[in-house]
Amino acid sequence: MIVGIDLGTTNCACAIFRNGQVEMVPNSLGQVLTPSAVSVDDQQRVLTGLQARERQSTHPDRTVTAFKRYMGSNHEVRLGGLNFSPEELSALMLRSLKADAEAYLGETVEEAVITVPAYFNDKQRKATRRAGLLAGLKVERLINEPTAAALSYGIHLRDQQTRFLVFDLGGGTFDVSVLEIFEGVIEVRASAGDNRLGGEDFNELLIDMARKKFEPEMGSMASDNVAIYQRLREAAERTRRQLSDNPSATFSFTWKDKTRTMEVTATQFEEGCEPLIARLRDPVLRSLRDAGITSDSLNEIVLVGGSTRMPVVRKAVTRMFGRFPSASVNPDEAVARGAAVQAALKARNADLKEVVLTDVCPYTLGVASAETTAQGGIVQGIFTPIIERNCVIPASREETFSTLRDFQPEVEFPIFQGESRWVKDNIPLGTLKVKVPKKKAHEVSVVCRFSYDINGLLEVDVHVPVTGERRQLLIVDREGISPEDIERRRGELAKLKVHPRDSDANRATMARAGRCYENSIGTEREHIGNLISQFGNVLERQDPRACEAARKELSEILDRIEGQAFL
Amino acid sequence: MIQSQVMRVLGLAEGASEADIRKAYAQRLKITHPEDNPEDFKELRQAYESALQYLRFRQQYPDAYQDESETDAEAAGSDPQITVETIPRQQHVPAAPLPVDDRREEPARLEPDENDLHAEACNRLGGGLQTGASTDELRAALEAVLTSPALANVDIYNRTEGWLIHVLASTAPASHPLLDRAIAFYQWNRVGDHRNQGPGAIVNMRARIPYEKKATEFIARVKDKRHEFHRAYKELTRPPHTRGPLSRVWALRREDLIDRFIAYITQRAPLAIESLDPEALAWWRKGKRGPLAWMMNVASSLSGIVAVAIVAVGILTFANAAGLLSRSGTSPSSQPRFEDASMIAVRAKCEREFEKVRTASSDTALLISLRNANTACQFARGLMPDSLLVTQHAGMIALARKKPDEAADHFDWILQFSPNDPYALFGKGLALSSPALMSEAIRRDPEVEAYFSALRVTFPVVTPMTETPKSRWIKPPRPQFDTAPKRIKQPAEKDIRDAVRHFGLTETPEGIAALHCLVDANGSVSECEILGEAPRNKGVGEFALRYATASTFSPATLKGVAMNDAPLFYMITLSGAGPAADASSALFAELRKRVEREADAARETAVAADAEPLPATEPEPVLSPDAQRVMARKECQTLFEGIRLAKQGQVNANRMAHAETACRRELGKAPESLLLRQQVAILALTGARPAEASGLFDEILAQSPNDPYALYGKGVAAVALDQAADTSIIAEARKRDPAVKAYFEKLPLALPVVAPMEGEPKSRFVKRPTPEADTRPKRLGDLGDDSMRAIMRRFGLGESPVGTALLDCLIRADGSVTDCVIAEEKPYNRGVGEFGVAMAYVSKFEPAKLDGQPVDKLPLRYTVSLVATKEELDRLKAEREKAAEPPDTAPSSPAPSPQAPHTDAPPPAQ
Repeated sequence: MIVGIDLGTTNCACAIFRNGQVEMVPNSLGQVLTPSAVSVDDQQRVLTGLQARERQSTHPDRTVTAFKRYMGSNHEVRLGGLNFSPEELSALMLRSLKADAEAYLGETVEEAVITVPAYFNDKQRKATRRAGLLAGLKVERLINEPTAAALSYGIHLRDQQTRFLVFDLGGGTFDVSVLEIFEGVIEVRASAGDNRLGGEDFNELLIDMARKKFEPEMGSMASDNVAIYQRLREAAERTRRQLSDNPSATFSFTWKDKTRTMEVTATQFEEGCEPLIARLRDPVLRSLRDAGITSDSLNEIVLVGGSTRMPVVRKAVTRMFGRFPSASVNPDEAVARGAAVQAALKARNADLKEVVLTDVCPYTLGVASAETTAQGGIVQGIFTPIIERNCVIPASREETFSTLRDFQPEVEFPIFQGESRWVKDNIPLGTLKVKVPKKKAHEVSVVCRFSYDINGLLEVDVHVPVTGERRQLLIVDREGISPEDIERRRGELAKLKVHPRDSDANRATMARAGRCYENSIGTEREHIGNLISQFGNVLERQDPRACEAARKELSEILDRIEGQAFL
Repeated sequence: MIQSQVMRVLGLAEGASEADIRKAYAQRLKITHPEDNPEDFKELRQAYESALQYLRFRQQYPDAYQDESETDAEAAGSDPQITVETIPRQQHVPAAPLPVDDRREEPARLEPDENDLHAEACNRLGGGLQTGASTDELRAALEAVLTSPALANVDIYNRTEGWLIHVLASTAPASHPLLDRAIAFYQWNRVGDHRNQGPGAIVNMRARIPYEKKATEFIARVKDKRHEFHRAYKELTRPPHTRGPLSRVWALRREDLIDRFIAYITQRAPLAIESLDPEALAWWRKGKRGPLAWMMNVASSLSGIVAVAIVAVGILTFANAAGLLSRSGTSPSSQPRFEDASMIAVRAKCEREFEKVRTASSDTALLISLRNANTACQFARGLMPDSLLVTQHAGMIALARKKPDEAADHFDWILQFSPNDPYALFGKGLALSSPALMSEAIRRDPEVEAYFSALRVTFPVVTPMTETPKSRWIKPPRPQFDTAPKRIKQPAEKDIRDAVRHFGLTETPEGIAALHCLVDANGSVSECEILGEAPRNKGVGEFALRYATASTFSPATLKGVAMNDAPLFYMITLSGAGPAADASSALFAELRKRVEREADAARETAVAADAEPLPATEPEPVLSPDAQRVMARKECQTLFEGIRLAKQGQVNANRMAHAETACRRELGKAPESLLLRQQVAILALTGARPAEASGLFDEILAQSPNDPYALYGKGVAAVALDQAADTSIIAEARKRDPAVKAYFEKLPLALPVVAPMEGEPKSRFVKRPTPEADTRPKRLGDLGDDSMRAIMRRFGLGESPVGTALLDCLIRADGSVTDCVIAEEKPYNRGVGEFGVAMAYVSKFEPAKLDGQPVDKLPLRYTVSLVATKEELDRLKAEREKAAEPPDTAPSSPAPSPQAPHTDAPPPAQ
């Protein structure tokens, strides 16, 4: 069985396709969404999911969230004396999702389709793929998140003729895709995005407002202290959620026995959001322009991603398209569901035959080149596109170049991804050199061929027709990690101790209670302290039924104190 | 991918609708799954995209003149099968500003009021820009547009941005004060999106404003004869291809001035460069880069401060050495002078080291001497770039260094000045492994073999040449004149001394040289060539060339007016300084006899260069956004012609690859161009890939079955593939167009000997079935300028070709065209046919009808005439209207000729 996994910035989800339909896989807490959080406890044991996220504000130096934002970089996190790379953290998440799926299905799961933001670059995709390997999953396919969402929306419309736009605003990334369905073909016409824009940015906005408000009494601490930052962040998330349903909300956080509050109205918040809302427009414009489609001819606007629940975002979308967006998909589940459909397509599930999905490469790939100006100077670092963005994949394109200087011995092809005319503003992917016969300038031509495969992996091939010399480059992984390395690191990760799965719920509740304790003051705090001790005593008796009853009771009390728990 | 391939991949007939194409693609996609079969998928996808693109291209330019369609339909009415299309030759003109859209058409779903307000604001801004409102009014109007709440809608935002770009660009300079605000609002100047051509144009426009003003003023000043840079401006507006090699060397004396001029405008008025001739500019820069670049090489390979110092002085002197060419000989004395002794030493070192290479006794000795010799002679060449002998040494050193391409370049350069030089011929033959050239050189001068055989290079087997070789000198066209030019003044003593110093000699060489020069109206000479020299290989010729340019002549006159380019045969005897000067009159007589013999041979056998038609004068380049595309196409054309007309053996693999790359790139942009396809095919043929060439010619013939050039090419390819192939096709092609042989002749190909064809060739065009119909299809109206421009843009043409083409197209029931075949075109090989076909695809037709219902795919034959001028067009139109009775019983006359473009086409052949 191949599972579909949505590896999100704030939450992960897992789904499978069987008996002709998609089923969401619940985690050990019986929930469909698993927060993307990893924490390490005092016994150096690893916690993932809700139980880890609840520790975020109480153990900020031992807990990490939103690590997807660092995917593909060398940014390492130190948790309780252990170092983790972003892909290892992702691997830990994938491993827990895998365990959930195995528990749900009753069989081992070894293959997965994992989603990535459409705007993830080559390095980020490679890192995601490695994360899968580290978790012991064969990554059958990486699929773009908006494409997956579109698939879950569009699979029921496969016999129709329709065009729609997927607007995917997640926790950390923003993607837009324009799709068309005709004759059983689901075709992505264009994708665009901003991989630094998501719900977290809206939280930052509230945090900034709070800092401004509290700075006079707290001094620069409000900005510098990491623990305070995590508290603020948690409070911001809570406030933002409240603002989705209420005209105003209270931003409240506790630090050093003092609770500070701030009233935020929806209007205030919306005004502050304007710069972020303006950033939403660019990818929408670009995707429509690239697809050559006007918004009138779209049959539907599909909102995906938890952040699209914000009224301010919905309002902006309505203004942009002059109509109300569709409410027919669950914004949290659509991506995972689509991944499961893709997995089924990949496995040629009999219920889904006659459907073909084609996707695009959302960014432009090319090489750095130089040219002679009218003034006779040489301008270097010009980006020459070879595969233009929104080209249907798999695709191969080639371009012919010639030597720039007399008797130059070799030609270098620095490979880049991006949309800027200058390579310095684009992302370097690698470099290829080829020897050429020493001739006058422009006399030797070199053919450069880019092949972009269906998983978004790029292969570059350079060929000198005169000599027949050829060079190839598969854009290599960071520092060229070998399969042995991956195997070794997988072994290391496997050795990390993990709590038994069946006690996850108890630990999550305990962590939440701990957080509430720290967030409250006075008698309330005392009360919570007592509850924690009681719950601890019950847990020690190791009677499952008693534990469950005590947990339920505690959760209800906590709900009363701080409002519903959320994901 | 061409149209037929596209349709084959999709399994469709040509002219399929968009729905058909999409359906076919979807069906094939299920079989050619992108995951299982990526390579086939890529092909399928490409075919799908090409098909859609082609369809859109057709939909985009369907315009027709409404008012003219009536007369046209009338004219065509009496003979529905034949219509005449007459289009004036086109040039790019900037498109007129579009009227402001009325945004009331906007589907107003949520807030209709906002849209109305926005449309109002746009109208006010557009109107203000066109009627010249005040700057403040314009700014306010722009502000109203940019702050309009309707912009929240992405469609309106998008459309407004596009509209604004257009309006701002087309109403410049009225729009200039608005640019900053618009750029800031739409962030057009942020790190660019390379695909956004439009915004880039606005940002560039903004950046250019101050420079444009400066450049215009500067050019106006420099056009004044008294301006210090006036001469340089003149040089840089004169395209180098219009001047001969010596005229170029001659112009080198202005290098210093031109350097300063270029440096000046680069710094002060960069946009003034656009008023200069790009070719001339490139040539001057290249000429400069050459010597400097190798000097750097020398500097890096020599060691020691002294050597570097010499080079430094050498660089300074190079400019000076060029100055020596000046007749007045007044080089500025402030510049340091390279000592004569050093010059002599440089040349002597080259000679010495070269002799070591030439006579090296072993491979080891050769290896040691090669490096030294190469450095020494390259250095010498840089200081005396016009020395043929040093260049010859350099060529031989290149041969010894196993660099035949480089050697061939050197020898070719010599042959430009001295076409009969046996040493250069032999060297070139050796470089290109051409025994024919070598045997010719030996026949001209038997000593040459011994001279070269000392070089440790493997010789090919050379069979001696029996007949006397003809002179390779080509007589330039000769203007009319009453009095011939004469030399009136010998060079001054000082000029001779300068020449001796320039070549690094200690005394003038002794001997006689016969030259042929062109004498200009101002009494100077240019483009001198050496017809003969004695003794050879002693530098007599190169000295004579320099000597000639330092002399003064009286120009040829016609009715008392001095003429340019008058030819002068001219013998120079160099004696005096040498030790044997007085006593050698007998020797000189002998030498003179030899030279005269050679010169006479040249005069007698000189081939008049009138076989090649002179290229038509280029029109003034019109600045347009497509200038680049036109330049690119021209580059392909130039490179291709360079190869086609190259002297034997001048073509090397690199030049071929270069030309092929350029032409293939063009073909990629206009895949339906038959002319480009033909050029690529000929390049494939030249590159010894006959199978590929044959395929390409077949593709041409599919669309133009009677094209003699494709037929000829196909025949040649067939022979290259199989010696015993049928050559009747070649004979047929020659019968169709006798010029075709001359066209292919110079290519380095084995052209088979074929017997001329008996009788007239039959048309190869196969008539297509005509479905039953009551009425015939007819064409509705001529094409508009926009459509013509679009086609020109597609083909990268600066102007439309002139001629007539007889097309046979199928008219579909919806009035569109498919399957156009060129039945005949006049003149051939000028792209008239392909242009006509492209026009047909964007023309509107009325389908044939049966019982009032349109009938699909009825053939229509009609002639497209493309004329050069508006007057001609008017004349033709008048004639067409006068001819009330079009001859619908036209006899089977030959294809319509360009002189009578209004004649109707012959009925279908066969």
